[in-house]
Amino acid sequence: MTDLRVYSDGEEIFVWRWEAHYVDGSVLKQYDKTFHKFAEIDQSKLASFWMVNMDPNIPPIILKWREGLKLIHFYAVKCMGFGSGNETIYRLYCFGYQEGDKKIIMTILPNGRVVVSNDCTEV
Amino acid sequence: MTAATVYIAESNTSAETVTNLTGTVDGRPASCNMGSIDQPAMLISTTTAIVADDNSFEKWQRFRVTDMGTATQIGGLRVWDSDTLAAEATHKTNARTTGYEGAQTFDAVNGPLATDRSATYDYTQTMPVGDPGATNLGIAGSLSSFLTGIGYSDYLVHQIQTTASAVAGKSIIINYQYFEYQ
Repeated sequence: MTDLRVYSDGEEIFVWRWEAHYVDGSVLKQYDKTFHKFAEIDQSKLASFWMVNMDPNIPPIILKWREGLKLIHFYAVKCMGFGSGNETIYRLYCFGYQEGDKKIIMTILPNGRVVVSNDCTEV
Repeated sequence: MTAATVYIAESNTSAETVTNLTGTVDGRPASCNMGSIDQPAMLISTTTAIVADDNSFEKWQRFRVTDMGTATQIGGLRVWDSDTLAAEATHKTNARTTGYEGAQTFDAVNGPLATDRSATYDYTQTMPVGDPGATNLGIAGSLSSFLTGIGYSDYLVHQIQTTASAVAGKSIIINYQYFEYQ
């Protein structure tokens, strides 16, 4: 089995973590000393939404914010070859926004590349 | 804990023994092998092979969430095959992106069977080859529903059906996906 997810002390950890950067310069991080829920983000005060890799050498992916957008964030977990003895499991980090009926979803692949699509169904 | 904990859980026997298909099951490696016995994680052997013109035992499997982690909702369930079976063999399922018939009820009298009960349990759809591109297994009977806590999806009911001319020797693998909404 190939598990491309990342673990620490037996628990899966998220290698990409969000940061909400506000117009007043403050930052709410998914992880600081405690864990913060996505719902804690005050989208009315957002200046930008960042996805930051645990590896500081990998640059963050920044979504600049503007009024009228609705933030989207979810993970897609795929298991390829389930129960075959050679299965591969990986987590996709998906984020973006909805503006009216239009969605823009950015999906961070396990290799760090980003795919931009219009809909969750394309993830 | 951050990530949700999600298993594929298989139901077997009329008493509905539920087994998480992970690690090893009674000493056998977890698998989705299908054959002529009603057993989770069965081994591939002549005693579990499907004879041409027979069906495999049905598989009754569900996504099972035992921990939501940081997710507020889990859904968007998809299952698909990597390839088609050899000639005269078909992998049938109730999973579908349109015309979903709702949650199937486990047969607590007989348990899974090797007879074709596709009309009763709606596994009349051929398992898609490749990502279906949309949810094809429901929660609480609906493709647009979510789990908001620990629990199960609808049953994924599937069966391999063969004809007398079925050709042996090809194996395919099953894949799945779910979304963890934050």
